[in-house]
Amino acid sequence: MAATAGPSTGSGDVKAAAVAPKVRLQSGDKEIFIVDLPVAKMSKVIKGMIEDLAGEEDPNWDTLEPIPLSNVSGPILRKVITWMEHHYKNDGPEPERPEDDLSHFTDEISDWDEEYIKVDQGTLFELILASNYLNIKKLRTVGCKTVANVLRKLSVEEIREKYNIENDFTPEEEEAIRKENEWCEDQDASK
Amino acid sequence: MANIKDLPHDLLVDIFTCADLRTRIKIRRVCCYWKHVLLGPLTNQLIQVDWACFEARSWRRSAWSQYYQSAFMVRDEGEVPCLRGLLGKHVRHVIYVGRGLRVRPNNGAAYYDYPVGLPWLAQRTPQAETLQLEGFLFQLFGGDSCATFLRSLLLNEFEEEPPHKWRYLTLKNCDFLFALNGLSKGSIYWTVRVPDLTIELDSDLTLSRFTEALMPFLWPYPEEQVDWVRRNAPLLPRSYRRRPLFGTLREFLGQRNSYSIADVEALDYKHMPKESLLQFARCLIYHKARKNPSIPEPPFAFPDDFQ
Repeated sequence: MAATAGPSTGSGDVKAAAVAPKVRLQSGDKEIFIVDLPVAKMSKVIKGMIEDLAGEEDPNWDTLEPIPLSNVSGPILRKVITWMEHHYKNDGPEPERPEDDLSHFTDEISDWDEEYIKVDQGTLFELILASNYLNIKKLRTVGCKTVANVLRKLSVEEIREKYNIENDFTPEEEEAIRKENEWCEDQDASK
Repeated sequence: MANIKDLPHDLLVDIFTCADLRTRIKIRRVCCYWKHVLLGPLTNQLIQVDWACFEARSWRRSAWSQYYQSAFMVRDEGEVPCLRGLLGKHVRHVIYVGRGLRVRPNNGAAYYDYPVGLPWLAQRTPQAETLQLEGFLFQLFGGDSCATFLRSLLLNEFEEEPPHKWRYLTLKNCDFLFALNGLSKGSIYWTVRVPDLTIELDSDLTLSRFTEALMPFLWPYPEEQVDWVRRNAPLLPRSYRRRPLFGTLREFLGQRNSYSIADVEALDYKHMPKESLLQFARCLIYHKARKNPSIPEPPFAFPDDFQ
């Protein structure tokens, strides 16, 4: 076929000309979002659901039931969709990487993502949970890195206070760790 | 609202994986569950360190004593208690963040010019496959090429027996600093940045693999740019053959008292290492700006800091 042999611009024209099918997503609180099919497929979970629903044939997307995402609330899903739309437009679909690949941990956070993730900590954890549930690896990593950055800047006491974590070490255990940590503790104190 | 306590185990693992080694040591103290997660081998497949990790033992304040203490510490063979469970055979990737740390190859005396602590770390992560150096400034001396530099860095670093078997070396935002000496105004420096490059290391650490991988960064220009060097290099006056280009010419033509214009004309520029081409190009740019504006512009502009 001529189209397959043509230069890459040919496929771009086809993409622009065809109207992308839309898919409807339903949040846990019953809000409906209409999203371009390839954008929605950035979530591996939605992709799997679509493939299950659609089967082999090309279905009529308008009559299909909305896809239920019961674990994600409306406001969070809206934010996730913003992320997917931006990254689909700018980077295309995420490249396939082996399950145990660690290279995504070393990617830098882009300026856009950094701006995007400036949210209150409740929303941040909701986003991390949602990206985990929807299986969007890159968004999950952006969230995890952001939390790690916060942990880096806080002292142990500040971390406990911020996340309301109880210190459940016995005094002996605490003393043992403190002793082990001695060589880096004096650095912390000098901050 | 969600809290960090609502996250499942694997997400906490991912968050801690993103934290550098020192943060991991620190937050072990938060609670029993965190300590448990932090010491799991899954969390520590990837280790991220920076220079500060190795100066932590110092309790003096001046910069030099910190430096000295750190070198002392990383030579220390003893076990560091707080690293139990964090380092070990489960580590697969080591990321070393340099934050602009300037590194020179070992000339026998300057131990501290290395990425501090790397051999020490390598001993404690014997199964790690990938070494990623991020944000380093590699300073090349006269005769060094980038490839010999990298080889000397890895070999000198890991001369312990048995040597560490890295499978991949990744350079991220690393700069190679070149110098041109012997000009009338002293030395001129310029850098070439390698934004992201992964080199597969075979057992011999062959130079050719480094050379090949670095070439597109050193000389990202088409043939015409080489041709520009070839046509104009003979226009450089005698003083250039005596001083800044002497070492380069000696490399190709052997040791002599002097090199003639005919020697310069006869060189094989097309197959010359790209570092040598850069030396010639730098001389031409310098000479054009100060003495001989009739040297034509290169077909493709060099980066700003090269001018």
